[in-house]
Amino acid sequence: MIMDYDVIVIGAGLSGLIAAARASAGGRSVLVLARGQGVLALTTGCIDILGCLPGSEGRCLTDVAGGLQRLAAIDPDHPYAKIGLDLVQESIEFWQQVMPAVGYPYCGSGAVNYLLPTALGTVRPTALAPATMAGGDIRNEAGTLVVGWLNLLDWHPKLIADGINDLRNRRGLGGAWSSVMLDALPGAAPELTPVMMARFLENAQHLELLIAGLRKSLTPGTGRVGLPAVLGIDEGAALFRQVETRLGCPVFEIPAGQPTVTGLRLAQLLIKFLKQSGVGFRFNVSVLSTERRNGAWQVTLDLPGRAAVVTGGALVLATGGLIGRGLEADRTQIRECVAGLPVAGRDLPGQAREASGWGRDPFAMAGVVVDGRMRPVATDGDPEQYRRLFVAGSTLAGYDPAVGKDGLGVALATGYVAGNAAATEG
Amino acid sequence: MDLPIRSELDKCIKCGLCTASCPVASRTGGFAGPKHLGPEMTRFRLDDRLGLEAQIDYCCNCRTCEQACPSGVKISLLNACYRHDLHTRQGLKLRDGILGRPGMMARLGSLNAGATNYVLNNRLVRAALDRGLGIARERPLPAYSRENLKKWFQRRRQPDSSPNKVVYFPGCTAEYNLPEIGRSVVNILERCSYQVILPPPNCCGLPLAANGFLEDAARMAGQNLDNLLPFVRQGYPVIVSCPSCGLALKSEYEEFHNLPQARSLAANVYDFSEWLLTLQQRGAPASGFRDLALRVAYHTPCHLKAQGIGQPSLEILKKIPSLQVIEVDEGCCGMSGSFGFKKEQYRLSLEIGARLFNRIREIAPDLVASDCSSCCMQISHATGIGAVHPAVLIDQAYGRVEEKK
Repeated sequence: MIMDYDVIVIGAGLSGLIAAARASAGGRSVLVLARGQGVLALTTGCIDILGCLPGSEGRCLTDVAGGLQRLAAIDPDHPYAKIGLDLVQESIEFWQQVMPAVGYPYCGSGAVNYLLPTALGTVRPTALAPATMAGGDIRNEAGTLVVGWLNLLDWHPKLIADGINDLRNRRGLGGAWSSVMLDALPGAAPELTPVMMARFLENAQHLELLIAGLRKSLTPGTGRVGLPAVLGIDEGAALFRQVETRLGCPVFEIPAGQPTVTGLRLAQLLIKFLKQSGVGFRFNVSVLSTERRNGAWQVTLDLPGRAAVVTGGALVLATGGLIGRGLEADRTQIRECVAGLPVAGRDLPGQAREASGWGRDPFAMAGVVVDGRMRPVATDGDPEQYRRLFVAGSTLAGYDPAVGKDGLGVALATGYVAGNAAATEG
Repeated sequence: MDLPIRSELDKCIKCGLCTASCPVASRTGGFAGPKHLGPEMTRFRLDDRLGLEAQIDYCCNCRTCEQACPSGVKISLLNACYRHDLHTRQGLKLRDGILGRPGMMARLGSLNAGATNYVLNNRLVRAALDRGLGIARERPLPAYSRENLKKWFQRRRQPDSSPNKVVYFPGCTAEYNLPEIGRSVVNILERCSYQVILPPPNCCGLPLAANGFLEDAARMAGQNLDNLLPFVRQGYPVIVSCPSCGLALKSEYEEFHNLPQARSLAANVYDFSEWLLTLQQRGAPASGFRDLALRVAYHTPCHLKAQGIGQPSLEILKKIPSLQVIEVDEGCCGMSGSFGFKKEQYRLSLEIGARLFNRIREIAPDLVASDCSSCCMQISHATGIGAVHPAVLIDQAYGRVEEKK
């Protein structure tokens, strides 16, 4: 049977994009189907591999490599444990190879966490950070100035400086954080979201105004400058480099608002890179059904006007969880929306909620159960119906990214393994 | 809105405690309560002072938002209804009525195309249109052709009858302004052994809907259903070469106008390249392309993206030997049909497309290819580089030389 594509990926979040990148790098023809832009743009774009171990009451982890060993020992159902740590490491190396080509460089070895400031003045442990954000580690003892503008919504430099100073004091770290609120950027709208401000700054003259304003607010004690993540979207890290060079002082971005500029950059640049590598994309399509027939996957799409079928040798399901809507919950059940796969932990009302505030949420833990190669484990019926079907990302059961701080890390690792399996396994 | 009132609205965090404590709301379900009727409804009552009413004209109906939305919200439909409602209350603009009726204008303009084009290129006329109607004087107006598609179709030697028939809906541009697009489409379809049927020329109605004339657009849609459905019932597919016509026929007739039988038409409408690519995949004359030594930049129109059919023209162009095709992936060109003609939106429309134009200048192609003639118009205007419908290039690759007149 002639197939349209070797591999069809459903979902354009991080796990889907990485699966597509891996399968395409393996020489396969790949099509990505997506209903919308996906929720990657709602994340910070930081690849949090592991920020917190189960049962550690929310304590920040810095030693990621050691933490992964421990996690694999105590939690065999976690996707990392299923994949095996060698493949997790391989996925990190794949990321480090791909991102320079994408034109949006990341920093970090993946073995230890940065401790980066958030817009709320708290700390995010993350292993791989965009180059524009990596300079913000709170353990760096340079005098830090956080800058805001009166017309930028939901951005409070003093809240950030106070919060981080509090943390620094408790950890006995030097180098005070201070804040300054600048007047509204001239020429900009009276109220700006971070995305609007990023678009505004993509104009060279507007960026000059911003740099001039920043220059005036530097003091001799300023060792680095923290800015909201507003330094352009389409150009990747180019505007960031420009500001840093012109200012003659290290700069870092802190992600703010929704959608997040850093998440948008990652999503858009990764998609652009994949298109240039020959991966096909179809946005604005819903999948009506998937069916294995005559040795191929038939995916039926709901297009304006009519249904259409595309065929592929392998299928990667990367449709997201409850937020990305690969899973849907009603009052009695959680179900997988596209392929109708069995969902572990689907009957929520029967489950007792964990008491601790740090406990993992049953809604997050529910999902599709897979083996180490991301193949669904058939609980009923014919295992042949899942042949060459692989599942990745938050559709999977067994982890709670809000607790483990491992959301995009699991998306990267499982997307990589699924793409690898879809490209190679017969 | 006055700032003190505005800050009152912004203070409300929608917690609902006021309504929970309200003596009236706690006794009758007939009163929605203070939160609903206070801060929430106030925003709506004061919307004109927020300037939101006038802003609706800045929605260019490109549908990019719908492609981004993960929840399938029909944002364009909401905007079209609001625009219609607002314009009905405030009175519709003459200018928008003209821009919404390219077919009617073309029928008038084509009566004496030479004279019309001469007059419309006159600086004084353009100044008057700018001041009097609000059509930007800097924007080149599309010229009308001396021989429209229908006349050409009837004049030439008719090909042999074939059991395989398709209906071609050219839309206004390929009928009146750039009939070379229509001629290429007809040639290619005939080369693939189809007999082409042209229905009576008629606008698809999308420009009317985009300008707030929903009722007129629905009437137009009804006429097209009457024209096309008899063919559809005989099993003939309907081919469109304009992505906006395609979107209207495939989705707006049902979504916007809720017309019965719109669905049976929609299910049989194909974009020209979508159709040709399917034929080629089934083994129809994909071969037979001759060399076309050109460097071409391809731009995907928003309304083609909205159809969810991928990039069939790009895939076909890639098969033409010696043709170097580079995809320009920089989003909307900013023209959006009538949007870019409007005086108050002309500059903005060029700013929207600035990244696209810069990228095209970097590529420095011999030609730009794009399925939408409105995109082509904007790209040529901004970059000075010629832009054509892919069908024209495909037709050349099939070996046809445009006849001299």
